[in-house]
Amino acid sequence: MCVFFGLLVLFVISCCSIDVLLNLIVLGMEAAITKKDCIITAYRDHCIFLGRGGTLLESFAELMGRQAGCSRGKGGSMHFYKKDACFFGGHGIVGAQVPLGCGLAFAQKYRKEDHVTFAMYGDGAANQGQLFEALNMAALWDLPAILVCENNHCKEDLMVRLMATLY
Amino acid sequence: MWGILRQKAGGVTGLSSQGLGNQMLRLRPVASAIRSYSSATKEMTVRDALNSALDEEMAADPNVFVMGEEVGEYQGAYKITKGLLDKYGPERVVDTPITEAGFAGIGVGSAYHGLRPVIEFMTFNFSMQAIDHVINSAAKSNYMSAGQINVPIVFRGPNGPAAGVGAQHSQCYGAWFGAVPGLKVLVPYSSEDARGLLKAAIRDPDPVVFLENELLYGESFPVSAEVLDSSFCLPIGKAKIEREGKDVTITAFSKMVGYALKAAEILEKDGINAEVINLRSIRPLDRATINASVRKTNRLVTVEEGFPQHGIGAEICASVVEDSFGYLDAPVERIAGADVPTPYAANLERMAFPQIEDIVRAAKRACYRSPMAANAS
Repeated sequence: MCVFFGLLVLFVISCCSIDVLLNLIVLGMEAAITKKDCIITAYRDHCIFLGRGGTLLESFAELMGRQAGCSRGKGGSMHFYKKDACFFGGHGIVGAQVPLGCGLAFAQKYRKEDHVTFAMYGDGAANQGQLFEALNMAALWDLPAILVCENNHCKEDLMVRLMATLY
Repeated sequence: MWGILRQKAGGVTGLSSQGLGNQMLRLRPVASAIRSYSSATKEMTVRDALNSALDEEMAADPNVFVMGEEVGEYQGAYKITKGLLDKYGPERVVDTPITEAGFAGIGVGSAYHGLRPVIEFMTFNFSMQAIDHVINSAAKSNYMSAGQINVPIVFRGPNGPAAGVGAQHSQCYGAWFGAVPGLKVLVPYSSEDARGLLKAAIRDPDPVVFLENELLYGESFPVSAEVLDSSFCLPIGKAKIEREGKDVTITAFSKMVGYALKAAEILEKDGINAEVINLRSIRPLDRATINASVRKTNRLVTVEEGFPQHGIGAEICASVVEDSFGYLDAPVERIAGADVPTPYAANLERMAFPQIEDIVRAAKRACYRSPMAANAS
């Protein structure tokens, strides 16, 4: 069954560059979903990787550029993946993960899978044009995509009130 | 009568696209009797070649789907996807809004999850709207994930100048995409190239940029029974020697292959025996074939329609200088489009792109056969 597409806005206050409180979002999500549901995000991907079953050893090794890292030291902090648990990264270009996530949902619908995709993004990425392009097509084609906005009021590092008129 | 048949077979623009297959065409009987001659060579347009390749690959693998603007109900902006919507339905032939960044990203995302999308850009000028997804989301993912993610996607569409479409619709993107590790970049010329390379691209587990040419879509080329077989596939990364020669090597791709072949015929009359190489693949570039040819002829002319700086010719020249410098008897001649945004006026547009006489002149320069006047071009 196709799950209807919804837009969740979670208000989590965090002014750190480290995604400390992203833990809460991940814990909540993982409690409700399966490893066959897909997750994709931008570059704050460490917690999601751990939530999907990645290990601390792989995480730290990757940050240190070691072969034992989850991406063999070739990806780095922004490119953690865990394909066997349907975690598709780890993307450095802010906003790109939203169309990609809608693409994962497209594949799930194409294959008539009974799963959904969580495309995560932040209040900064909310200004990306491609997000609206993907949103439009997700609605047009009724894709099983759930767009999760982690609103920490900090677009990358700068306060949102300086960045967006619609805030 | 045979002369009239030859002219009809020569294609709309009169380019000699048959190459060495001319013998078969001269002996071709009238149309009604063709069925009784099983050895007669069939003719196929590039458009039909692409359409049949897409059709066969979609039939063979249910994960292959087509997505782009006007690919479905309109039957394709250039009719390359004609008939596919009726045959495979709207789930596999997906019309999109005018949102290149969005649908290219959706295509790449679906490829992450195991589908095999064929994304059409109406022209590659519009790929610039989506180039982040081609390069950062598709090309680099296999490396960044240390092999966990592979992206079996094809981005296809017309590339380079058409006729009178102006500066924003005429750029060649071969050099841009050809520079990116993680991409394969293919440039078919004939119908055989179109069929074999598109099938190879769709079957490839990695991202492929497939650069077609609008003006070649309507051109007919002879295709053998082997080419028409649904399992036909060409290897990626191998150039084809369209015409063998011993005096000068001319490399070209896409529409310029036809021009180079015409130039070779003109040069033949002047006693210069040119070897014409159809690159077929910009990335990987078939350096081995190019260098072997230059080692034989000792002279090189590269031809492309794109801008000259940092172009395909520059890369080929560097490759030859690195691998075969001692074999060169003359500096490499590089012909490219003019270093100017494409003008609209027909006479200016003609001057902005290589013409057959430019190739002839460059080959003669490479052979030290051009006039030594100070203003010789």
